[in-house]
Amino acid sequence: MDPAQIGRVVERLRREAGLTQATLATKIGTTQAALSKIETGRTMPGLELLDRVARAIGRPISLTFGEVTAPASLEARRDLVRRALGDFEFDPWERDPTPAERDSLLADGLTRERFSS
Amino acid sequence: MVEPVIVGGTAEEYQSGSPYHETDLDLCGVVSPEERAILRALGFRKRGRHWFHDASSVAVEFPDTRIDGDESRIDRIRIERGTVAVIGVDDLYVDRLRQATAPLANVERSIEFHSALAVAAGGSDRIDRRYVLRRIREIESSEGRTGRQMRQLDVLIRRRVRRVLVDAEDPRPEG
Repeated sequence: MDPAQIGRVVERLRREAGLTQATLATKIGTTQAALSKIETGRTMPGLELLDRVARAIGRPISLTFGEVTAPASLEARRDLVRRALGDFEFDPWERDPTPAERDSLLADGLTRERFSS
Repeated sequence: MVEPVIVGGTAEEYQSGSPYHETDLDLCGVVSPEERAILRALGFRKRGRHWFHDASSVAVEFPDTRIDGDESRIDRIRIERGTVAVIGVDDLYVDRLRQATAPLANVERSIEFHSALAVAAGGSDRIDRRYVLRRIREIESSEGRTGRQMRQLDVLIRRRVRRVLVDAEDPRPEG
């Protein structure tokens, strides 16, 4: 488990507890800047600090170390990309295609009308 | 022959799984006179900057002779009849980040920004952050403004991807 993963767990639990970084930082006796570094994976928090976080939010924190994880599947990657892009759709016609590229798009059924709606 | 390396939109679709809808196949490599003859024999003809294959409507472009990045990070994918080389996800992200600095207005709504965002999200478990930051620093030292913009966009994109990852790792069922 890398610092970024631990940071995301801390951030998620903090948000679920309805706490701001500043509030949680005060509760666990650290600064908002230090907590921000933990949540963004720039600092690996110690176990004692994680215990203070768990007590402050009133929920246990479960972390798994040494877990062998396979690279994300194509489907999982696509899901993350879809979530990140939201309702944005790539429109190849906005990229000012050359005549050759236009023919290639049309052959794939990617007409201008398909993206203009 | 110098090994051709897939870059651009096709590399983005492969590395991120994003629905980029590439318009052509961009390859980095040197096309020798003999290889031009082979391309013609295979049915490709030159149309502007592209080699176009009429039967399949595939457009191929050779935008550069080498990739902009570390060739040891190139991914090689086994396919039925051999191996194809694709630019590494780290260098692809740096490339997309650089392109995202091009729009003069509404950067966060541009295709280029979303392209970089897609690569960052799809490659979030593989992108080597130290390497990316080192490359941004190098660009910053030679092209100050571009490098600074890349750094700012990188922060913005990482923040968005982290938010998606936090939500995606939420064990609570959706709905």
